Amino acid sequence: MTAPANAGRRVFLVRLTQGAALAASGGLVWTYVLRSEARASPFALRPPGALAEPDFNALCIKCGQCVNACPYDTLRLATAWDSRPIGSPYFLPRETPCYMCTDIPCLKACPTGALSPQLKDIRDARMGLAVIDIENCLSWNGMRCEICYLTCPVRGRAITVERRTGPEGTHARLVPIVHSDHCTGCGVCEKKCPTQEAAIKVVQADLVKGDMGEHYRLMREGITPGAAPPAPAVPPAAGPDRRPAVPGLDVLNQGL
Amino acid sequence: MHCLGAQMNLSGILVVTRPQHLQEVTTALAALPGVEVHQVDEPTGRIVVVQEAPDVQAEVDGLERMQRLPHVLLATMVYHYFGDETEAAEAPTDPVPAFLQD
Amino acid sequence: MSLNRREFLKSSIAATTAATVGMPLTAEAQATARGGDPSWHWEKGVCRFCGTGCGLLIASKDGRVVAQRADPDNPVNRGYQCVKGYFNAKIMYGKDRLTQPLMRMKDGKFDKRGKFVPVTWEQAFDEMERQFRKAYAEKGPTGVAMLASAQKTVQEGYAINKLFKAGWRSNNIDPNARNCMASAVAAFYSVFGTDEPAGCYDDIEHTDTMILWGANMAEMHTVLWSRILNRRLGNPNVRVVNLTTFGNMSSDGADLEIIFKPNTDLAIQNYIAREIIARGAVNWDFVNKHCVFVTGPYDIGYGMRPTDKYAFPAERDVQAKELRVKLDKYEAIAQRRKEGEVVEQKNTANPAAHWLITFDDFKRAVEPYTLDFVAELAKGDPDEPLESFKAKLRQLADLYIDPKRKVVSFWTMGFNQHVRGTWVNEQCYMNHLLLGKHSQPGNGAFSLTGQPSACGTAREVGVFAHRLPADRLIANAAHREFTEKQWKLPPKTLNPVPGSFYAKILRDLEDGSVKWLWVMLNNPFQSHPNLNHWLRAAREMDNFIVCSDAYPSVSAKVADLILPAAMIFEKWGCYGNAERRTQMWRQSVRAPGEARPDLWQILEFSKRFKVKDFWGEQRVPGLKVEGYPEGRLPSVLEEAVRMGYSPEMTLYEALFATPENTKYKWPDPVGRKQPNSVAELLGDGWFPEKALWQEYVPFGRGVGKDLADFDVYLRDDVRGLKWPVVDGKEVHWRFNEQYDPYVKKGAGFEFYGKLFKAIPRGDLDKVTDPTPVSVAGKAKIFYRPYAAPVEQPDDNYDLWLCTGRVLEHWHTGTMTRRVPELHRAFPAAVLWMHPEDAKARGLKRDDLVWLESRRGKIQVRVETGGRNRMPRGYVYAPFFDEGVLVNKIVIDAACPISKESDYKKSAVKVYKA
Repeated sequence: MTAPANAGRRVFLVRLTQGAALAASGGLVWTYVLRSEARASPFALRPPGALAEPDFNALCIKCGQCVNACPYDTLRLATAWDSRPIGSPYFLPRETPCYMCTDIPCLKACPTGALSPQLKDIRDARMGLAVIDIENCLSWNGMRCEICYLTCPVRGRAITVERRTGPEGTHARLVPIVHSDHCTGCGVCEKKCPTQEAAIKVVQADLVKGDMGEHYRLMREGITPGAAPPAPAVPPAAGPDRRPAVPGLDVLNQGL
Repeated sequence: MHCLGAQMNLSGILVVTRPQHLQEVTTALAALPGVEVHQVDEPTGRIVVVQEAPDVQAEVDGLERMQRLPHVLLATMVYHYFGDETEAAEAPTDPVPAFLQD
Repeated sequence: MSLNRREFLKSSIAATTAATVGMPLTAEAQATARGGDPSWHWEKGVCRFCGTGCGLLIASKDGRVVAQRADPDNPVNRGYQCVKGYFNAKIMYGKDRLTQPLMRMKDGKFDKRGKFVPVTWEQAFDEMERQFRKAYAEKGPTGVAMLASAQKTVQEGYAINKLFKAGWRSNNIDPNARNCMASAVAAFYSVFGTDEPAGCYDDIEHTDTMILWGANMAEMHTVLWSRILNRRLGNPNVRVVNLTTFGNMSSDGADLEIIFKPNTDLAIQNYIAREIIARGAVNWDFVNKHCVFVTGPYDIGYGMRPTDKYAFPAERDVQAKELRVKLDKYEAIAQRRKEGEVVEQKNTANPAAHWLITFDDFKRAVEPYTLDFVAELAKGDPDEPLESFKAKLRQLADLYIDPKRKVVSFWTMGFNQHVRGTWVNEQCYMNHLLLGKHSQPGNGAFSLTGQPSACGTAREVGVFAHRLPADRLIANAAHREFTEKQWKLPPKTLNPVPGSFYAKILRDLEDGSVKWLWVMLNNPFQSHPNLNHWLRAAREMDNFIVCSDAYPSVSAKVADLILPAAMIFEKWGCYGNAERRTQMWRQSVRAPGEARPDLWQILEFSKRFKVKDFWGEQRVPGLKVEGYPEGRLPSVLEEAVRMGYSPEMTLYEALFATPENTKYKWPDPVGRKQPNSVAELLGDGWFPEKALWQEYVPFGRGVGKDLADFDVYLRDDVRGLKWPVVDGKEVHWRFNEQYDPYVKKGAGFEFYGKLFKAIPRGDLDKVTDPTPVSVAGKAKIFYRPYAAPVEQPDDNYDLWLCTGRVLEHWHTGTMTRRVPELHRAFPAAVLWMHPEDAKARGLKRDDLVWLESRRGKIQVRVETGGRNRMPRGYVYAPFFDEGVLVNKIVIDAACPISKESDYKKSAVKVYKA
């Protein structure tokens, strides 16, 4: 396993970055830096428990305590040239993923609640979401790899392996599948993926997650026909009837 | 392994000019110390240069120098690499792997 | 920062900058896009790693392997591979590849205490020869040895076997296959009289029941596991059972997982046999026609030294069991004796002896193995209710016995690396034979192989201390005579005394009886159990150790001379896989620097010795064989001269570059302009790989081991052939008249293997009539009892330790750990442990702990999750990591018949470091 890195070097790096951040705010202004929030890299992830981005940016005082507390040197502070607000903490999973310490030391170190103390179990963290490029994934191409599945700290829930008969009729495929309801976005899978460019990547979930909309419910949600809909919490207020005349009538009565 | 003296700042800078001044600006950029022209897009007058500088101050100075060049409409930092890379992959010169000797 | 790195950084920064602002990529950047290059040259190849034998296609350009793909036309893997196999093309290009001979030197000359210094091949061979002559003069043929390999090509194995046995008249050559497949071999010999499986991989598609015994195929035979799952998925009636000592990846795909206690597989097998009889399911037609019942002695020891002279103080209590054993409650019942009885181990010298018994004896012997008895003994997970375990055993018996079901049993190291490895192999055949479910498509007991050429090289060529090519034995006078005739040797050139087996060679090093050792294509000083003894022997005893390797392995580190070796696609070669499939490949590229093929090393070194150095009289202490003078090998020089040899001839000329062999010229059209480093370096115009192959194949022809000619295997339309290849046709199922031309017409089945087919008669305890009875054509159904492991957890060493491989790495990791992608995926060994066991010791996941046994201690990190689910009381550690030398901890007990080490059952303790 990955050994915790040298603490002295870490403190040094934090100071250095904070220095750069100060220098930047002291009049060193580049267009790019100003725009950085808008083009935040989808590959830079926030520490566990981070609030939604606007709230996080409002609360994070860029003190670097979380970075100091991380025993694996996973977290770093954004420099002027990174794609995040200067001085705010992030990590790049392909370099160093979050190893999901059960005691969440980064969160405990946060003095402002930007990393929310409501997160009690690291498995409830949602730092991002793993997505698989099935065109370049070894397992999806029939190779016996499954390293993402094997190394996933929430193995069997966040990533499962589905067995499918192979197209040649001789060799089954064991294909990894990510489940967003358990994936913490720790990035261990991305770190360990053996392809040259990782075929599984963790990105901010809202960039890739779809939404089916309210009007449709899938089979798996177990709807019983005939079951009464729950009563609405607040009955619709009875106001004046503002309905227009018969819908469509105006069009129908228009001259040709 | 990590020594401050060997710090390295590399920046990827986008320079924009009018297409008719492209040649002149490219030549002027290439003449600046530590600057290499990497890519030129003729139709839009965009130039990508990489600047190597010993520290942050020199880097900012370098960028300002570019901004002051004639016909330069914009010179902006797009990508930055900041590292003390002394440890990198210097090829082993000893033909006997160290592992065998300890 | 180096210039290259800086240039690389600058261009990637420029590219990123351009991409960020949406500028189009330059043509140069686009050129790096994917896709094959027409200038690449593709050749077929075989995966370097496990015994499955997946086919590859290898692309080279400008002397470098640049790409690979799985071979879609190879019937083994049909275009699929595992993640290790996916990186074959990268294993040759690790940063610390050895490219020059290195020798320990001080003041300009060899010194055992010196540091490694680069030397020329000439200097290396000079010192190697000087040391060889010194050891041979002092100790004779038994003073020199080689630890060989099941990863050698067939030709490498054949050449070194001949150099040792015919040239140096020494049988001290034994492969790492001893620690991998020897128990399987011993059982093939005792049951069928001939080595290697009856069936083939196609059994998977023909069967409906697959039972894994101590074989985590999902991780270790990855591509075959894909075939098994495919069969399971497409057919709801198919069942997969995983019998194992801990929950693993194969359990995830199995219908039934049975967790049993170490060694109790012996009892479970007997329970099934008892059920077969009790339910009247014996296939009497098959058994009466094709089988006999046999048994052998139980008091055979545990393959340890008979003396405690070399034991560490903590080892002595276990070592003492080599001489006498106090039976525990279960052994007493299983062996029809009394609990607490002390049994002298009287049959350690002849553990393989066996004799005919009646069916009634057999039935009486398995009678104690009732469901109640076996369930109580064998349940491996303390948290599983007994009733649930009983139900599983019953279900297992149902699956075997169901007359409508075809059954294949697969096994590997769980059976083979076992203090009763030969027995448990024999028991697996016992049940298949009782049911008549063997040697038919989809029916059979199938011994899987660990290494890529355990079958092709180690076993078929006979690169063992007791073997000669094609099922022939050193101890058999007729076999020696045949071999001497084939090799054109004077009679009695071959040494009739089997040499030291793998563990014994290391023990010989420790007690000073071996003084010169050559390690080739394996890593004993990481892979053999109880390492602290051998590491010390290598560095502190007066001996000379040569290690041929491509990377600085632990074995290279403890050697005195390191010879840099060419790797798989840097030489011509041939591997034989677990289903008897022989596959050849052409050389694609040349090795870097001064690294050279092992075959060249063998042939070139043989030039330094003359016929007269060895074929005169030689001292062999203890030699006592009919027809030989006591303690000596006779001089055969006179006869050699009569046969046309000159005493001044080199062994190279006498054994290898013979007039017959040099007729095969290099270049040869079959070479298709590919390089051949061996031929080029020798420079005398012959084609050693082809000549040696053609010299070797007559050994197997006509005895059921027929191989095709060299050029056939290199044809573009051939993806290996399963032997025996008779009239150009492969044999898919041996011993079955429908498929195997060696079976007599009308016999149906014939187990025609010739070894051990004349045996005495007796009862369950002893021989009663020593007159040998012929059992030609028959397979033997063995009764073997349950025996407890020699070392078991106690109050001090309170956990079982099992070791093995992981999917991502091959063996000791010398190749796969050089592939950055595989290293990143599994950088260091971990110790899998039940979370409760960790908690009870105040440990949590990722804690650094001491892992300690009677033999030593090492540090490792704890893993409580992940792919393996350990029952309480049981831990598992892989052996690939040279930073976690788990074999320092493992006991070196072995199956006394096969001499294969038991890596699966050591008693250990774990505490915080």
